[in-house]
Amino acid sequence: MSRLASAALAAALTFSLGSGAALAATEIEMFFPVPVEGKLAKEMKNLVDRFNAEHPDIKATAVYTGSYDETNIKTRAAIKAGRPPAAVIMSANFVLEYQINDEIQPLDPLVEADGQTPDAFMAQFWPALHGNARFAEKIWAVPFHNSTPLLYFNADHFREVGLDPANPPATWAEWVDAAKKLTVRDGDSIKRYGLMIPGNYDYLGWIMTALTMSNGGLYYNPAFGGEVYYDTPSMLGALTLVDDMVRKHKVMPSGVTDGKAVSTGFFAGQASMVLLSTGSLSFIRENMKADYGVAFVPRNLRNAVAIGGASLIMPKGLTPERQKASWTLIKWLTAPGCPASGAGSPATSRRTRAPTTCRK
Amino acid sequence: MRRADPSALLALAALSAVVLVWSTPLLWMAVASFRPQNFGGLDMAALWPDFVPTLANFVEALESADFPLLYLNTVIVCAGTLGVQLVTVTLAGYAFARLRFPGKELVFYAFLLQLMLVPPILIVPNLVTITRLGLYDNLVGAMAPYFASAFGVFLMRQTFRTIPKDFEEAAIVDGATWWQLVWRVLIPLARPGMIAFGIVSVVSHWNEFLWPLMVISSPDNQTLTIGLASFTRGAESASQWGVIAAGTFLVAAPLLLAFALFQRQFVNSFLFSGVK
Amino acid sequence: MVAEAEGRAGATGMGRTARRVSARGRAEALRAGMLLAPSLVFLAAFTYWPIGQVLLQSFTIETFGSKEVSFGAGNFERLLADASFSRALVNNVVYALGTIVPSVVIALALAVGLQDATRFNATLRTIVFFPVLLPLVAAAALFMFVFLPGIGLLDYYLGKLGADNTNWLGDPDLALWSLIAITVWKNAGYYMLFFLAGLQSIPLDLYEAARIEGAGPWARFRRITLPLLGPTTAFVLVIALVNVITQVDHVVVLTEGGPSDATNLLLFYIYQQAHENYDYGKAAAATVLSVAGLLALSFLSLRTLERGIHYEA
Repeated sequence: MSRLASAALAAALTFSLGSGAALAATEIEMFFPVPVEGKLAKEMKNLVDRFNAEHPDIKATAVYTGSYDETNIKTRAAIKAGRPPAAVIMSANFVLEYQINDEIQPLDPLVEADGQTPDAFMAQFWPALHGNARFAEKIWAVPFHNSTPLLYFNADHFREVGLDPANPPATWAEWVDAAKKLTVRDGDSIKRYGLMIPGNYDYLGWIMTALTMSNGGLYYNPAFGGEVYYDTPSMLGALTLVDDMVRKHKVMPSGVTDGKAVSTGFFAGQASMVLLSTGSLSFIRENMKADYGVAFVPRNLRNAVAIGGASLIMPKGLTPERQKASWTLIKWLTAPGCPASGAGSPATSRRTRAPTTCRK
Repeated sequence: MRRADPSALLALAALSAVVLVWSTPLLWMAVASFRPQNFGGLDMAALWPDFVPTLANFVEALESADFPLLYLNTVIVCAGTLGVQLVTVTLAGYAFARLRFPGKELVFYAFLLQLMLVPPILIVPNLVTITRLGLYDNLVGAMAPYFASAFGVFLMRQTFRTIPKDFEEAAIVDGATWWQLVWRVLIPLARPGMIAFGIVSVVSHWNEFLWPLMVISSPDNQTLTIGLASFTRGAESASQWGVIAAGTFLVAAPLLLAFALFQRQFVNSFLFSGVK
Repeated sequence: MVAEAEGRAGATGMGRTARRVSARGRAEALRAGMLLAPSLVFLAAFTYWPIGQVLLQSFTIETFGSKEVSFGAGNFERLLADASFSRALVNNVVYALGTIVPSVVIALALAVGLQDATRFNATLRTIVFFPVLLPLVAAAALFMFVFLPGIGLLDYYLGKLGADNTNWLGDPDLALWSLIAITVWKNAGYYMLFFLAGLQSIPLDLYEAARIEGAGPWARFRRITLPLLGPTTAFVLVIALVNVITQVDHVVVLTEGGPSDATNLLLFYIYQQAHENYDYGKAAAATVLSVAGLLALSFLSLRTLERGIHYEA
């Protein structure tokens, strides 16, 4: 206790000596949400501890800030209260709004200060991730915990009905066909569903986006993010597919099925195929007892999915020192070889180990 | 209980039905928290323990967050909030119940306004105020917006009004000042109301999530619900029901224990009503 | 005896403010001011200041991504034209009717039934209060398990009775009723607490006197318990009314207003406008309307209930 007190006193003295003290580390805060279950909060702390050990001039603190939504609310409120965090792992859905509201820092000057061109910086990431990070002619975010929807299937169920787990459905027609074969009925009631899709809140929106893209369409105007499409033929086609699965073929439960209900149903053998995030992969790998497989979301016209998950952003209004420290942290977290997915942090790697996330 | 009375028997039957409905989820939580993780089974809802109990869920929950620190911070927040509240609500509750002053009704409804605002709308203005007061990322900042409690004032007003006036009149005849009156007569008589308020206040601040999440940043200042949320609320997919049940018990157990102890006060306080 | 106690309980009733400002009256008003001051300081900082901000915001018209502002009633016009708002309003009325009466009646019955000091009653009181103790962040996940189609607590046991799987939270026709059931389950114990506290201040000799006069349990309840619990009942009803708007986050997190707005309640509507759509003007306008509505309803119910206390018995 007394050691703690003297440490606090020392810290206070250092602080009161002000900027003159060259030894004082730059203190920065990074807000992070926990997108998947598990001990991610603890792992994130370990990761930042490692960063601090490697960078004695910076003292970073990882602040757990709830869900994607709560992280967004807290970030916004902190900005309004004049206490912006140095970095935030922000759901990719929200980055555009911060840019429109002029609340985040374009990263190009920081990239250039490192002697790199913005093009060269972005070239380190898979092209699919660029749309979320670089728009309106600048880099606004660095891809970090990105994910896509993935088709998970129960291989035992496949074999049971004569489907080949090595050749999972690749087209919508094959998908519907497989779902019909996999569904187990007892009179009017359904004992096992061929397919389940999370229907809660933004999860379904993300899946519908992926299906619209598989159907050859887009869900918003890439040149102007404020324009979204709800009634294009490609989107209506995706909607018809889902509607048919529920009403026509009766292979999927009606109403909203929560993401938690989908994964629980998959574990329990109540659903033979599910669409879930790549973020769930290691959780399913660790806990699924039955034999299972994964596949790309089936296509109608092309193989395409929407990028989800979160990216690193830097709010405006930081001092130059904190800005610099924050940039060091952001670069370290997304460095080639993914220190964020190193052996010391298996949980963090749930997302980063996904093929699309690490730099090439 | 008079067993011969058929209406009493009927009441007992109704009571048992109610208790069955209320205790089933509780029982399930207890069973699930000791159930070995089993993601493949359909029997996760079974209430009868048909397995070898394990502490693995508790271990995993405990490892997910720094529980001793979280308990300490939460106790500080609850005790600090309640301490200030008991003073503010008793004083104001007495004023509304017993004193006459102009504009009393208007002021009373102005107090009630606090109850009517929905929490999401308060986040930004209150965070700005807290930051200006220098209380950002400080436990006092998590407490300050609740130091005045319209709920408590309302409850104390009703409680004081339930107390027959002849107790006070007797004290006034004995030459007591208004302050002695409050302290020696009214507060002891208002004990059940104050305890009910205390329970409600502690429970709500113990379990509060959104405001502490907004105002607290440093991990050293975090409260229990934030630690619990970090593993019960993944935004995407699968849920570890056993760990969630165990974590919930870890958070709720102190409250359950405290309630079991304190609710007897409602019964014991008959002793006080006898004092004249 | 009963009537006498009644008269006293009502003697300081609201609205009977001093008519003459005498020296004694001034001293009393000053004392009241001193007693109210500590609360008022904190209310000013954390209630009246935000209310001022919300009022201002409700008449401020902003465009997303632009710094220009103008003033007018446009937010209210857009709000009233929004079908989701009227849906939320209707849902909230159904939710209020479905939750307030059952939870208050069950609470009162439980408080009267469990007020004797036995160990059995103490255990039951704790069990009934348990739902109140559940932290929101865990309760959402637990309720979700209870309602999980096919596998959850409810369907598992209903299935043993031969019932088919039901999507309790995902079916637009059922979801609101599932939320109502959870709310009654959760709130009954909460309101029971206040009735238990209120019951303590009823002098036992009143019951003795009534018993000597030959009054049965129902007559004693109607003639002594119910009237003397007047202030408590008024409190519980007003709190219950306010809670159906402001304290519904337990259920909101379960369905996020869905499916198809079937469970969109005012609180979630405001949350959505403020924090998902960044439409602060509409959120503020909805807040102003909901606060005004609650204030009017509380005023009416308190007036009615507390007048009842004066004249009854």
